[in-house]
Amino acid sequence: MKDLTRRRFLTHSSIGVAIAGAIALVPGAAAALKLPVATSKAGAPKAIAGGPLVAHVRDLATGEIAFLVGSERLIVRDRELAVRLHAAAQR
Amino acid sequence: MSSHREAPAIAKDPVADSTDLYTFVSPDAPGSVTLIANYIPLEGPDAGPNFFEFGDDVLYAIHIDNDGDAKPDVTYEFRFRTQITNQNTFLYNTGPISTIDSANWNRRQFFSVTRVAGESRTVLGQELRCPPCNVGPRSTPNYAALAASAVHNVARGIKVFAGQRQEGFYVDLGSIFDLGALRPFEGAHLIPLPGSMKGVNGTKNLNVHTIALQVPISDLSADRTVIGVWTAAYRRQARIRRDSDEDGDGIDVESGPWVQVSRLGNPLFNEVIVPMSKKDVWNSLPPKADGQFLKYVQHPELAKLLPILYPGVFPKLAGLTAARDDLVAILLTGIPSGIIPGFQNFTGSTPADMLRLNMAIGPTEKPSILGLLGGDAAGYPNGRRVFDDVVTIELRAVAGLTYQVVHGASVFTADGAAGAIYDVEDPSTNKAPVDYLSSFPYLNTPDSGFSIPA
Repeated sequence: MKDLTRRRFLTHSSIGVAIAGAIALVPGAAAALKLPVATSKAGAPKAIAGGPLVAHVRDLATGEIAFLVGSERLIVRDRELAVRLHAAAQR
Repeated sequence: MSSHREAPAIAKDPVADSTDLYTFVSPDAPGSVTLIANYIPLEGPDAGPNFFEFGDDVLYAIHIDNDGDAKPDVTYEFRFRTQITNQNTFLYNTGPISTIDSANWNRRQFFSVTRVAGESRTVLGQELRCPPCNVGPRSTPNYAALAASAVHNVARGIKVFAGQRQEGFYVDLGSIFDLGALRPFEGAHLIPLPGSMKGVNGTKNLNVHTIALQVPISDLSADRTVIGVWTAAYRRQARIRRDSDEDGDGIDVESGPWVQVSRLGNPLFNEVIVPMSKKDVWNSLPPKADGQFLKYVQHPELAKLLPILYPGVFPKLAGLTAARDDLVAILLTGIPSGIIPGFQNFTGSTPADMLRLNMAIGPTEKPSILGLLGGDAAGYPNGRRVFDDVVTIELRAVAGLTYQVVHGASVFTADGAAGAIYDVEDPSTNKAPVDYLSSFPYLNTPDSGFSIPA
């Protein structure tokens, strides 16, 4: 992870992209990952286009993460993912 | 000011700072309504080489509620794109900009305008040109004609303009925020200064950036005559600034939903009604959330201050402790029928700061800059025209004049001063201290950097 800078992590995180993309694009993926369904601000999950993705761990204790992608905000509660992101940021 | 730098956070973000909103039935095209939202406060004309411009990273919107629920039914969205044509010069222009597509103009802006109604989005125009700023007679000769070529006719019979204009709002800024001083009434102030002074227009010779639309009335509402209007600016929720050590692409990263950072309906609402501690929150909220600010309208701080700042001048106002339903009507609900003969601009009981316009009231042949207070139902607070003296109108309203109008003189008689106070110039002259255009976009040609400061 030598090249993992904070900026690259936030904007091009393979973890974040993979999970947020799976939630949005693969039916049932959220359940398979034991995640609550991610919802956009407007309510329904929407397909995520390419482009930057920002992950904001809003509450490490509850695992609440906001993924900001395109003009959407996807809220996920996944403590395991939040802990992994937090740990990655401390390397 | 009307809404210039009116809240701590937006004062640090001028590109997204809404300064004034105007809405009126077009005097020279009475089948249409003109909507004007100004941004970027207090532009000094001599601002080179980086002259003022709209934000490419800001979403500007003018919202219209046409059913009284304080939610947008029709929205016009504006997005901007800046282009540098010559990568090797520090100059804004490398020669005279005689036409709007002049190759001498190095930093130019284009914009799109989109109409949103429910789930329907219609691009009315795109790659529309903004005019340059008014640099000076060598760089932007014949500026008025140059800017006129940036008035565009787009779809649905709509006319649109986005670019620099001369500030049309007038206020004695230096005086009013020096403990509420009104220069013409200096001697009556708690801390008097000798003599009576002439008011000063603090925004004279400053420019703004204007977004203006002229829209057929039918485009705003199919069957209602009263609309509520507000403007808002939005930024992306996340922005990561470029870091040359980490990423060589040199581009900031933005992502997430649009977040409202600025809002404006009635002039001076956030400026003098909302406490400073809540101004930033107010800017982030939609009008339908304004119920939480109702108490500040019912019992405005300024009404309590006037009798203190001008001892003995406002004794009746000092005794007026009732909730100010007159101000609630003007600012939050519109004026119901039955109060002013033949007039109403009521949108419903939902308290929301919107500029309300009864579109069935046509332009007045001889307008009064005091609007409704001057017996002119085509002026503020029935919409707002560019020349309306909104500072004086609101000062007089807060001082109790409109409470008397609503309840009758048998219930409350306002102090004599309530009908006499003013800010910049005595409105009995019915002459605004600013010049305007007689046709779209109505706000005057901006002052040039060469001419101002003189």
